[in-house]
Amino acid sequence: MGIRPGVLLEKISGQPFGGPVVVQVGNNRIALGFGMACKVQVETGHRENAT
Amino acid sequence: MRLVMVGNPNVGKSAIFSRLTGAHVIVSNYPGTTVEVTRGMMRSADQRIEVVDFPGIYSLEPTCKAEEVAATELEKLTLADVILNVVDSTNLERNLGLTLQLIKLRTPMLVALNFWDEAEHTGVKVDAPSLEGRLGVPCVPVVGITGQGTKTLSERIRQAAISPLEFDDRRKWDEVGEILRTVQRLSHRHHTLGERLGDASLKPFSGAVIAISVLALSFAVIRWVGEGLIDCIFEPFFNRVWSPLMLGLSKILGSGGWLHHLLIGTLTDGRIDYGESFGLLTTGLFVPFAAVLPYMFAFYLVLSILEDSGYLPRLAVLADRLMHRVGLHGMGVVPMLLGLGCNVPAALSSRIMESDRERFICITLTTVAVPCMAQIAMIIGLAGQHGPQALAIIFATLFVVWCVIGMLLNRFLKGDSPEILMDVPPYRMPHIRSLAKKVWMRLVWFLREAVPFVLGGVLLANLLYSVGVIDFIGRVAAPVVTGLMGLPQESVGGLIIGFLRKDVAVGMLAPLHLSFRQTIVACVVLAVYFPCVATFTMILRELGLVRLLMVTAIMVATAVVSGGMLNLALRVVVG
Repeated sequence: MGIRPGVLLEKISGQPFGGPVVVQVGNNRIALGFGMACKVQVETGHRENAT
Repeated sequence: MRLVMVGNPNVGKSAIFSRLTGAHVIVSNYPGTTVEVTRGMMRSADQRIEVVDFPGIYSLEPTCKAEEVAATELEKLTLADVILNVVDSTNLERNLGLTLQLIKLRTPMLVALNFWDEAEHTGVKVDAPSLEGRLGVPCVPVVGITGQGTKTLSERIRQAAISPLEFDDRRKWDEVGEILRTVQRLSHRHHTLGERLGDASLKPFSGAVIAISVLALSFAVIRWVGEGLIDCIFEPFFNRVWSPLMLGLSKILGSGGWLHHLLIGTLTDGRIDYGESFGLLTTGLFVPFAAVLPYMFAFYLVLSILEDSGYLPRLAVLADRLMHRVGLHGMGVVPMLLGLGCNVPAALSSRIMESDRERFICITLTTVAVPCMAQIAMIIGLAGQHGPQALAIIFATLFVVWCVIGMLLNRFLKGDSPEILMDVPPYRMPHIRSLAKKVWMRLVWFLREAVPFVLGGVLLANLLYSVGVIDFIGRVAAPVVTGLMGLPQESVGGLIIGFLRKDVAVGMLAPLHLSFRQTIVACVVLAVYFPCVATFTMILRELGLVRLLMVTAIMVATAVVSGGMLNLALRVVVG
């Protein structure tokens, strides 16, 4: 769905207690379950947040 | 020749489909609106073309039932077919991934660049002619919802071509990147104020506040519009215009006899009481038109605004944790909300859930514990006479039933629920004409489905009473109905007719003048005990016979248990 190695991610929101995380990839926003979000490895930059 | 529409979810395929063919299809702003294949006809250069609209797919490998439907249809492509690949111009990168997969199918193709206006506003500049040059197939900018560009699109169908593009499958995304470098210019911009406000509906605290406000406001508007229409238009019409006509007819029929009984029913003090007369032309018309239709209209108006604005996926994110408790993920809120309108489209929309297990839970929960608007309207009419606390107890009980059944199913069914993975589309201003069309379509659908069944239900109720079947079944079922649930024997008639139409069934309780406790128990039991025939058929189609019987068994068991417990509890509390 657009989350591939090398793309830029920005975390928009995260629900508490292991709820879904919403990230911005390119021009779209994707909600993904906490387990899935944990498997996304990110390098943090000045505008990107790690999940 | 066939024109096959393929694209990612929520890129506006259905909007373009309805523009090309003039066919009436539901268009909404959330992924997973279209869950089955829709066909229509169009004319281009004096050629008749069959247009086929598929559920959206992210790739050619399906991940849920709706995508499976599309993938199997794509395998059946022939040389006479043309693919119309609809892409979201604001999200070209991801969309082109699928486009390149489609190119490998070696079928003539053209591309519709949808949301062209939105792309311009958000600073995405796409060079359509140069994209056309790269892909070697026609690329047409369109705005599906307003119809801008769809004329050019239909003219260019015959130019559809097999793309000469050659690339290594493993380097697909590099290829996409290279194409984008030449055809797309992004003007960098910061998040707009609108987006920031929009994001508030996704954050935990502000999101919850917004969700509660939105739901409370929706409920208030539905109640206000529904009740307003009944009080100001429908009841005055029936009382002032229709009643004199019916009383005239009653005189002509000689104020009695079987035909009078069938058409007019029984008169109360020489007047027509639409709740109690139970004739085909009195209660039979009053129930669908004056009692249910206004609420249907109000509900679908509000639901359609929620759908088109793009709020539903946000609600799905917020409700995700709750829905996991009952074995679903956030997207499960969509079938539940649709179920408040009618359980039939709700059962169909369970296709957006990934696994069979989720679809079973989803359909069971909607049919057991989500009453449809027809039924809700009648319950408000009947139980509302006993005050708001009666309504509160009824709906609270249904919510508890929903939670308990969901948690039990989640615990005892094998497997677990997949995690949510969903596009959150941008907020969009609902397009008034398309919104009005959607509400209209749903109301027409309701009237076409409901009126025959309501009339049939009233007819059957009369027949069964006069033959004495209801008395007989009432005596047989007495231990459960009278003993356990504390309902009068005659209320069994409602349970029988409930299989045809649940609104008529609730209506049949009116002449019985039930007590506070009995009204509550009867409304809950009617909501839970059995699906109406339309839902029954849809579940059979979606889940098969074995699981239909399982759902039904769960419903009957739930009705007996919840009815019995509620009766007991209310006896203790209110006496």
